[in-house]
Amino acid sequence: MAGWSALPYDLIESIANLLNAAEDFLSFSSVCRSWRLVYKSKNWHPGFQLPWLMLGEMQTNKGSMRQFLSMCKFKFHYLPFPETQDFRCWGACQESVITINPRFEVRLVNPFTHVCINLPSITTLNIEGAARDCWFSVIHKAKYFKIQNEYMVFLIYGPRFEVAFTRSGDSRWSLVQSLIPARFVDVVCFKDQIMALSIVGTLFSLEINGVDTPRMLTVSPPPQQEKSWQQVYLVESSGDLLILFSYPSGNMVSRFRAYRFDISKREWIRLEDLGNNVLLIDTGICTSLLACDYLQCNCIYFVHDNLDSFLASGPKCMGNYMSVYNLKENYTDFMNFGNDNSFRYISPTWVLPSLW
Amino acid sequence: MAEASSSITEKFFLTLKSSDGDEFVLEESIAIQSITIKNMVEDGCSSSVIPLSKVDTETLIKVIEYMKMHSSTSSNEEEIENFDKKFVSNSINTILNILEAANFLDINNLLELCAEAVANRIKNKTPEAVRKIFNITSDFTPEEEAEIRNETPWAFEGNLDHSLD
Repeated sequence: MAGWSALPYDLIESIANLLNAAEDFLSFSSVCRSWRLVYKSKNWHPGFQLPWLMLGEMQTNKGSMRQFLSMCKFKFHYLPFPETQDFRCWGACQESVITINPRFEVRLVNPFTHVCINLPSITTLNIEGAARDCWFSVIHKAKYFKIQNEYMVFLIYGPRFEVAFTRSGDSRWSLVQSLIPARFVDVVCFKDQIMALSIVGTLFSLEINGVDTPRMLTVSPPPQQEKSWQQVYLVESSGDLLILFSYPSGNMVSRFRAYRFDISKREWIRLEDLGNNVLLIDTGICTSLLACDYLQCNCIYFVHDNLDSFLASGPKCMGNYMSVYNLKENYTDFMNFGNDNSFRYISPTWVLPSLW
Repeated sequence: MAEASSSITEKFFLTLKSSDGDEFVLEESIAIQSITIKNMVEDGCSSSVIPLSKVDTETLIKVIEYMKMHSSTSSNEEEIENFDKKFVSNSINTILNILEAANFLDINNLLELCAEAVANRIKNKTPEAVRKIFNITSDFTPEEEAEIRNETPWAFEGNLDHSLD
């Protein structure tokens, strides 16, 4: 019998692609030469990849390092990531994060490969009043989407919560008009179409039509039952478009309600459970993944930043913890991952570890 | 009409022969879950015995058990689920034989089931533990070992599970 190291390459590759965590794949790739071929040929494409949570800078015996939490075994990793120290960051379970620094420079940076893309200057955006002086609060939310091999970066910015975007190769930001006045709170890429959400929960779709100014078209009002929510998120989940409302419920606890958009009837349908999906929320961004050994189905993993206290009175030391809300069973669990003692602005961000 | 209905109920049987020379008679509708066998039937090779020179008797028995359970007529979903759970608890050497047989016979579901069983035994383990479980000897040179550790040093720090379960 030839044994496990003599498996045909195709079988080795299909086994590798059933490993969703980078740690498991690297362990697998370090077993023997034939099992390393998938790594060597960079052919690891699991159905989905398990993200890490990027935390703050820590002083270690190797100098200042960025702390990352892996959900496998709940383990910390320390990697140098000096490019973003004290910058504001947004991630959405992708390889790169979007950063803004005190010079108002906006970048797309990969924390693992350190590949950095400079995005166009934001000085052409409608930034007025107080916001002009404060680099920290100019952008409320930033997201990027990969559509085919191109990227598209979206910003929600300024005192009027407007939307602007830039694509691979663009030299400037394109401003988006809205036919009805709206303050936007979220954008998402759903089946290659950009959808957006206003602060009152109205769903919009973005029309980009050649020479005309890109504009937002109204699609649907929010579900009638939902009122005075704390936060609202838009998320693509296993081929569905979901809206997620959060409500405060006791000290630092939120409960959530989710709806799926019925495209043909143009209405929101209440969801009692998330099926085999989990939702991850960071920096105001919600992402959907499939449940796996390390993430429990029907749960919403919610991490908190200290932005409010940072803006109000300077950064405060706060514990790092994540709340895990089970949508089906309607209860909240907590995962504590230690105190942060850096007294800096901390915005835990989900990122995918890049291996190459 | 009478002829058509009789052809629906009539069952065709195939004879599969293992590498050890043992013969197994199996309904054609069950056996053609294997694309390799299906192609042979379509090419008209099914009248005689089908030799499976790469599958030994022990493995063929397991594969036939699997195909019987997964044939559309006989089992309900819960039965199949329980069967699959028990099936993947076979020893790792048996899984290897079944995986190779499933690959040769081109039975996609069985291939996926075995691949997942293998992946589940790798998760959360160090390379050393994986080698022990799968009885693999490292063939890396010390230089290659060092290179692997240098490429992604974070993967090798801390306390991973060295246990074999």
